[in-house]
Amino acid sequence: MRERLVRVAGGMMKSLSRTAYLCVANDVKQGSSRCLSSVAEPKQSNLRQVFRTSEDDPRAHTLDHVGLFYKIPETEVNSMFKGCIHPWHLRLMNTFNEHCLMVRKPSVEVNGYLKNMNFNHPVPKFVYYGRRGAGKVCSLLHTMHFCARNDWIMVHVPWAGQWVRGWNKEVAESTHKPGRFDLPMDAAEWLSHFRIQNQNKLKDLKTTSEYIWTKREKADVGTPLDEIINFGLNRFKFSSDCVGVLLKELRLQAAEKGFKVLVAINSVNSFFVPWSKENTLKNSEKKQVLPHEVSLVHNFKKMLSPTWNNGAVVCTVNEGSNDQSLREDYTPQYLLGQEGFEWFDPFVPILVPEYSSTEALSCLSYYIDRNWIQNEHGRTEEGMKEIMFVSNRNPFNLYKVCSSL
Amino acid sequence: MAASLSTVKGLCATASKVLAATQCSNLFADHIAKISVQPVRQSMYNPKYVEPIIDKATLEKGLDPDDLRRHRPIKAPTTDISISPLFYDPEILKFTNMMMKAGNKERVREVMRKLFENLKHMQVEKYNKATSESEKAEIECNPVVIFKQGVENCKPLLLVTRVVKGGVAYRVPVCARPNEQRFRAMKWIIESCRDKERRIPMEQKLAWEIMDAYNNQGKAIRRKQEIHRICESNRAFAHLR
Amino acid sequence: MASLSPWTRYSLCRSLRYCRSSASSVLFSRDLLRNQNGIAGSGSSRDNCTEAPSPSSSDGKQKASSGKAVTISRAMRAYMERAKAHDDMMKAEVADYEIGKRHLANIMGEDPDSFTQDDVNRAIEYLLPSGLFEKRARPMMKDPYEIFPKKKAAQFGLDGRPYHWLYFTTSPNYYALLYDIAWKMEDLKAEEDRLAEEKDGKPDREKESSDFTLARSEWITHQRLKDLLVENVPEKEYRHFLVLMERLAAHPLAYKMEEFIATYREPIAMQSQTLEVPQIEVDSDGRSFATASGKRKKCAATVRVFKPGSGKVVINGEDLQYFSNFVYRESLLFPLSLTGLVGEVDIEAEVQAQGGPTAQAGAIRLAVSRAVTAFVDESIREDLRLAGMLTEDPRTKERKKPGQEKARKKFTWKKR
Repeated sequence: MRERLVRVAGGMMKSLSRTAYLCVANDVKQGSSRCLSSVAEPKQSNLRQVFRTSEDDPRAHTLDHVGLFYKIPETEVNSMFKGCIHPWHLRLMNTFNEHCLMVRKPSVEVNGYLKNMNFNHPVPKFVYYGRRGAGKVCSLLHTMHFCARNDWIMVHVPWAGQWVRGWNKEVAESTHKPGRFDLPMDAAEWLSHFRIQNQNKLKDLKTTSEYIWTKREKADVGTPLDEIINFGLNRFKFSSDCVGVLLKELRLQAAEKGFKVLVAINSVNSFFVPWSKENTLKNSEKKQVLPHEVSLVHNFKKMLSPTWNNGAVVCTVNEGSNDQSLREDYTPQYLLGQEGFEWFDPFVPILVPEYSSTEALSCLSYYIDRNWIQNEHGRTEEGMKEIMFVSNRNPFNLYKVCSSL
Repeated sequence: MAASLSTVKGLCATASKVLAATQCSNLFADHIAKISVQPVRQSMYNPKYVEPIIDKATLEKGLDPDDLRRHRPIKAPTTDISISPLFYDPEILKFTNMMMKAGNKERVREVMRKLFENLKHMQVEKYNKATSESEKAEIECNPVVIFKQGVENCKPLLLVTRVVKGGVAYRVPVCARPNEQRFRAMKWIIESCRDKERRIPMEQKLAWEIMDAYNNQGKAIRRKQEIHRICESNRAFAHLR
Repeated sequence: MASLSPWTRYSLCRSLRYCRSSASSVLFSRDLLRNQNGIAGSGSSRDNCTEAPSPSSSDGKQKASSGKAVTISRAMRAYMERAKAHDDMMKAEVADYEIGKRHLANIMGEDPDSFTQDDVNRAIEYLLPSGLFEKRARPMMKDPYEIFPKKKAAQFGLDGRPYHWLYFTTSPNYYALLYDIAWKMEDLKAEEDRLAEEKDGKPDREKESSDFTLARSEWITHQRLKDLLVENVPEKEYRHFLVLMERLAAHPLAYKMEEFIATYREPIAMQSQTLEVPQIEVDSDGRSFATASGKRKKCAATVRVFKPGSGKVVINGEDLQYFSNFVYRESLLFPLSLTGLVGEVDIEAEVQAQGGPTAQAGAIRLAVSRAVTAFVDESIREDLRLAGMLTEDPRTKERKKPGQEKARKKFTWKKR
């Protein structure tokens, strides 16, 4: 049942201290014109409505919901968002004993596009960009949640930067094509992630051509994709090739079989910008492996090309995944570099801004509601203003400032 | 009548005592000492400068017109002092400075932030999962309160000093001054955390230790008890102080 | 004679000096001398200048007008010779100075008659530019009376007997002052005892009515005391004086000695009255703003604060992101939080990017606090001052010392 939603004009949000809640409630009770709700009898006991919405379905989120928190059911969190949410965010959610995400304008915008898109055209591409800690990943999560509710198949990379960093991991010569390099562990990890995210959606999908792994082992036409994944997980050596096969099949069959595919890649710029020399990826001859030589990256880059349809690509670009010397700006043009920009073109850049004062107040009220802000002064209007000043309304900084209060 | 006379006499006696006291205090008044003793390390400030008031309540109350601070220039507060109770607490600042190594304050501040975050995670999680109101009321969620209580619990009442008398060194129990108590308590907490497993981050170890101290357990508390025991066993030498 | 003003005394001395060569020279009466050697109040620079009886005949004996022979001691004679030499020297110096000033005026092409000391200073600075750090070491041209130290008049009569009973302490005025203080203290004690007996220890009403306080003034400086006493008072003795005075002032009945204490105190102004408040201006968009600048370490900042604002901060074209560390943002918050203007003013800051973030944040904080004073009322301005927001932090890096590794750290060194 859809509960009534209370939206309060920005001026009203100025005073959101605990006592002020009551004033808000009273205003609502009197049927103030500032209340956008059309429902007749407001429920006055539930004062949390100001920063919460009971609309749990991301498909129904509109611009009216911007700045409000909605609850994600735990089953969905476990199936979809394991390994996608920042550890600090996940920990916070566990402490709050509920998984809430704020509806924000950029993701609502993208979801709106996806709703009304003509999918017969080559895949549309959206790139979230913004300052560090502005909430790009959370916007991506919201979009993913939207697509998951629409039964799309998710091709999600939690963090692309992992694939171009060294960290003493195993690098093998590609079994498919010499000159490329496989990352067996990373590929296997991704396969299992993919399987968890798309548990019930892969039943009907079968391969359309024959794949020969070795002389003895091969996958015939009509092998279910589940089996391919299982094979990749059992034989790490071929896991990268399995990823390639999987992606290729999805691309080919998306239009034919009529299922939609969402390609969501976090910090996609690491596909194009080489990582620094110190802990870079190295092959067995101790030579640097560039991103385009990694088979995983190569396979995923194909997903970004406009050669297929009935799907969408939503990515983020991230300053932090770039080299220390390449962090001067946060625009996609700068972060993707010449090559990446040409590869990506055409795409729709979506700016993820810092919180507006309404959003910041809503976030602070949520923290207060969940008992996260313990400082007495922090719960007053004056204190909230000070927190917003110091954090500069940057979502991550807001969390950081509040974490010690 | 007699009674009133005796009270008058008593008053006289007390008056003379008060007089003596005032005269003595004149002789040893603090401000005299201030002039005659020069500081060892020189301050950049002219000695006329006085300490600032970092407290909104005091400022709101207003100052006496004859208060020295009205007539004297005021020292500028240092960078890490803030008037907002959100960002400044003398005790926390003290602890931060004591934990600092080689002037790396940014890092220690980060540790302190994470320490409070950890404390809050521990308690708020319990709080949000608690079902009944009575259960919730028992849980202290404010990390600053936990921290201060933890330090308070570690404060020793007595300390031992070494006194050499007749060529024999005695360990003499003495009363600990408030500053020394605070110093000891904080030092023990920090040291006990530094001794623990090295792979665990400092903020986590501190959070455990302070939580323990809050519940009157843990290494630092044991160290306090140890000192108290030594004082108890050496109580015979207390007069040597 | 006793009530001569310094200037009449001065002119008298002068006239005496000029008539000393005449046959009708006068012997100084004891009164006159005594008058001269008394503690000069707030005298002008010249009132304690050397004055001496006119030189007498070489045999040291002269017939006074009364006809009685006066013996002049050897000390007196030596003193008079010294005084005469000094006088002559001063006279020559003054003449030199006057001529020099006229020359200088001519060099500079100005009117010699209306050439003032300020003009002299400017001319010297122009003609003899000096890069010496110490200002007193630079070339200067001043009235000789300002340059040559003042000298005491004779402290003893013609017979060689000193006037002052503390003459042989070598600084009679200073010790006389100490005696004074001590006696006043004794007086107060006696008074206190008397009051205690009279009033049976009841609280003293008188004190409450008087507004005796030490808060609004401070003790005179060392140099001032020296000038007042016309004696060289060493640092240690000055501190001794302060201790005695403090003791006197701390006495519960000290208000009875208010006049005496006040002669050795200098008033200080209320600090809040010395504040300079920037003007509120209006920019082309009709927004009112105030401009101020601040310094910390080697960093200077200029800040414009706009009053009706939304809490926007711009530092060198960036927002608060300019300071990645929260400490600096918190320090910027200080003046705003104190005045309750968080989120109500816009700040535009230009800061030199040299130096570290601490210096930059400190400079901006000071500038913001100064600018904000334009928009708040008197009491909040005073609060800002009391919180130290309007003080320039003088602390800087301590210099490295030769023979040491750093400012304080020593080289590792072991004797053996």
